Amino acid sequence: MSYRPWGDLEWVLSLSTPKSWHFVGALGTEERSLCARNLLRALGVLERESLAQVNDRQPNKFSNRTTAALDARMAEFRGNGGRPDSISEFSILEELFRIQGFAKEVIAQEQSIVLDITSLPKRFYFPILREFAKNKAVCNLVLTYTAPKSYAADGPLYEDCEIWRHLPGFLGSGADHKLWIVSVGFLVESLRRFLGDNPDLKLKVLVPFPAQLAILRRTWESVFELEKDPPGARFENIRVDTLDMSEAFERIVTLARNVADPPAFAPFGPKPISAAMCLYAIEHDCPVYYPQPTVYHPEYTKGIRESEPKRAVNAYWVKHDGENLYRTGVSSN
Amino acid sequence: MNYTVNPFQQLYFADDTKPESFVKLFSSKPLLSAINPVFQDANVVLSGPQGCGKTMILNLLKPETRIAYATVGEDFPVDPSMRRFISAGVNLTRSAITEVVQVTLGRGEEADERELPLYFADFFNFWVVDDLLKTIQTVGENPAVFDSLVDLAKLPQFVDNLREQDCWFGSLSGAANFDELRSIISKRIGVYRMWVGGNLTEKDAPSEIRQSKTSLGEPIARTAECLRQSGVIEEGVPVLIRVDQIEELHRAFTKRSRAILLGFRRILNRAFANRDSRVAYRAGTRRYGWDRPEFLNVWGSDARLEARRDYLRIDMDMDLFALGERKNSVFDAFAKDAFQKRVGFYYGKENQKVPEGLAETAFGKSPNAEQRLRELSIEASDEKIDRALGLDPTRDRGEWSDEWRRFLRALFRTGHHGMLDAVLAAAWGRQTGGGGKSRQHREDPPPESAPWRTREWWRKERLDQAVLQLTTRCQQRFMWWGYKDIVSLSGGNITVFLHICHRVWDGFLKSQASIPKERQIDLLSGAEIPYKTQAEGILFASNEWYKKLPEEPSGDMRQRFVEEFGKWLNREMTGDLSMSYPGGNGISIAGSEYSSVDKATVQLLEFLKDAIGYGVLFEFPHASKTKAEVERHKFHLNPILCPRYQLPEARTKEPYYRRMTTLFDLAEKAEVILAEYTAPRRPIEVETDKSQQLDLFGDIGA
Repeated sequence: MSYRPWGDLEWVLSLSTPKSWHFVGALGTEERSLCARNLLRALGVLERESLAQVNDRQPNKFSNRTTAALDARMAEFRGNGGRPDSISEFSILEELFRIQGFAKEVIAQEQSIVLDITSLPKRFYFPILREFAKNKAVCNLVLTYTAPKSYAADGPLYEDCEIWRHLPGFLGSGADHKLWIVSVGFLVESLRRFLGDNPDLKLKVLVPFPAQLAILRRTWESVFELEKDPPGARFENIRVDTLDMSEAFERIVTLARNVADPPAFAPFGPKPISAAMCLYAIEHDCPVYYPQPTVYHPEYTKGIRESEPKRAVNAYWVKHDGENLYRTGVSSN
Repeated sequence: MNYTVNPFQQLYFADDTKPESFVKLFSSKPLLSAINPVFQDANVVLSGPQGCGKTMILNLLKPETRIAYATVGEDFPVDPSMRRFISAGVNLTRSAITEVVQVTLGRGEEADERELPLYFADFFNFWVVDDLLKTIQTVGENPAVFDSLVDLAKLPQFVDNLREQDCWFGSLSGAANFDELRSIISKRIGVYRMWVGGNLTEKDAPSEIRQSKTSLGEPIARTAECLRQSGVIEEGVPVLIRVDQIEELHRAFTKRSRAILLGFRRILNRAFANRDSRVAYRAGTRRYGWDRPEFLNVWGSDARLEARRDYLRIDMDMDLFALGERKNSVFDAFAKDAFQKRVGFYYGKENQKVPEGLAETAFGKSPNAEQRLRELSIEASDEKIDRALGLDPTRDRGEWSDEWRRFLRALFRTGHHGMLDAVLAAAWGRQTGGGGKSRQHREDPPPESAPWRTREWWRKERLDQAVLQLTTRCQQRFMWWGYKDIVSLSGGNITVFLHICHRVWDGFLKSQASIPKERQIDLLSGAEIPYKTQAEGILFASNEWYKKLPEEPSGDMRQRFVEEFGKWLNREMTGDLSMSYPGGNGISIAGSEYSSVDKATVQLLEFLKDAIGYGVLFEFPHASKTKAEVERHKFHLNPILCPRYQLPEARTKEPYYRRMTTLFDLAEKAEVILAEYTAPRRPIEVETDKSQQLDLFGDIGA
């Protein structure tokens, strides 16, 4: 049994000996995208940084607003001591080898990494997390996630999703999968379509609860949308705290325990739950399916939770002194 | 009957539909007479929108499907003379073969563009051969189903023969028997999956495959040849290779990906271009997902794939279902059979007898124009009638004489037939004398000859528009019900038909839930679903189809365009009080603009063609009535979207003749962003030629 600490960033870092950290995150349109980075800097432990600027499909209806928001974020970044040469630009559907290359460059520089998944699309942070989790050169790995104040209310949060396919690098073994574990978030159209195509499939649905008010209603609407048609027996809902990555991991371990083949994942829910799926998938070579959106609302979220960075940023120890805390059989207490 | 089961729950026939379900639900008779080429030699490309039945047909090639037919005791629905074939297949996305684009050889983009297609080809070959061997084993182990199609006793000779083929560059040399052969092939596929999954540390391709890359198609053809030479299968047994999701090779967002994926397509084209007598290929693709000029180049040559020479194209829309034209015997039979089979599948389990022709009895007859007005009251005030006929001051600024008004109001009050007469008479009254004359009929008293009634074609062409205008102005909806309406709204797509059935049946079940058992309607005893329930279900299905548009890649943009297009067409049709454009549920573009090389126009047309490929819009070339033009192209919404936008779905008349500027304007409103289009919008332009409109004036005069 191992303890998987998570919570307030400063407290989480204080559990280990003082270190210098390499911050990896995204320069995004959202206010929260730099929150963890700025907090780390304020704590005086930010040694280096590598940020990804992930560009949506161009052109799109938000292009002007997105550009303006990115300019504002860049100004904030510079104002907080950031250097533009630490930012790498990517296309939203960038090839896997480039994403891996980005992660490998970080590994070559530092053995203690904070990976902020707040504004990184799943297509990016899944393979990056895999590189960091599997590479022995990375001794300390902390994930951070910043909760927002609210979500965009003037339209869909994202648009123009790709087809239902595995995330790059998460192909799985190719075997048939009896167990499907999905997490639900705001939009589930593609998932509904997939279920329509596969009427005999049964799913374990990780429902984020308890959750912030900002996401609660929309999440349960998604659950309703997903399960209303056809109703009933093919869904088993399992409630998981939105922010508790460790609990989500434990749930997955429990669900997969008595199944011969590794499960398949469809991460549509909050990022900490998706990250738990990712960590399980890394160890067990599970496929992860996700129809990547190609256009995001420039104000996907607004503000940060309680307008207080210390309360908004959640941190999770993943590797400590070379030990991966998220391995099957290693659980929290 | 059971009032809890909806037999139309499952809409799609996916790749992994259970074979047993497939057997029960597949509609063989209506389709197979038209698709026999799929089971014969020569390359075949099946094209059509999602849900038109491509997968269903290609699934018949799988041995598991044939075994399922035998298991449930049903005759395999392929002509006995064509049943002796072997088939293998690959889904390019699911197999992860296209993921080769995700890796690099570490020697720059040029090297990637030049060499990654070769790895794609090798991965493809091994995957297909693996599936082919699996099929051979399955077929050989089920002689009761396949007779002597495969002789497993000849496998050792086959392995010896295959191993020695030079196309493998020694990669099979360690295979002593069939199991080892499969194991070696399986290992190679595993190496590929590891590599494209980013799990290997080497910068270049894995060393074990670098020196033994095979040429696309050749190992597959050699395998087929060896199977025949060794006697595992007889000479003359066709080997048919299915390739799914080719269109995904055309979706890329980086310059590098675009170039490499196009390379994959070009190398795949070589398999079709080879016209190899040893194997034949089968591809399923969306319309426009196959034959844009840049998709058809063949790797390593200047040649392009050519239909008829390199492959036979079966366009499910055009060749089988005539794009949902009302008189379409193949789709009609398909729809009836699909309905019957689904109801039979679910109710048959409960030993309930399902009568023949259930679709027609359950939905009943579709209404004529008069019956569609049945919700409108004839006891209306003068004001309401004026509004219904567009005579209110806001619309016609009091230009009607009292005599005309009294006449039209009286006509309206005679009943639903009179309502139709009144609105058509009002339209007639507004029309000019033709030939450039500006005088209107209403400047004279209403004629006793009632031309709006006696001119049969003029009237017939305007009935739908008349119903639409009347219902809209009376705050009612245009309603659809009955079997023919449902088939017409399905637009020749079986998935749409089943979707409508699903929602109508759902509404029916809900309506029966609160009724005492003895008063419940028994559809299995010849009763009909009430028309209002049908109309509500159809509207629900239409709105739901609209909501589902974003489920497909880039669907949000198409959805926004549809919304603008549909609303615009509705405004035009309801606002056209003189009914000059009764075919205004679509838009026609001149051939010269359609084939323009202007970059923005090309981009917009690509967007529209994508929408056509996904079945959101329908497009038809048609002859222009203007002498100066040869051909035009008309665009309509998929009929299933017509209830949402309150548009008659029948495409019996010429649509609006417009310029591309109209489409640009709609695209801009829909926030469809085209990189090449920056010019400010111009007002929507209407081409003034009305020669295509049939009117009354030629023979009656003003």
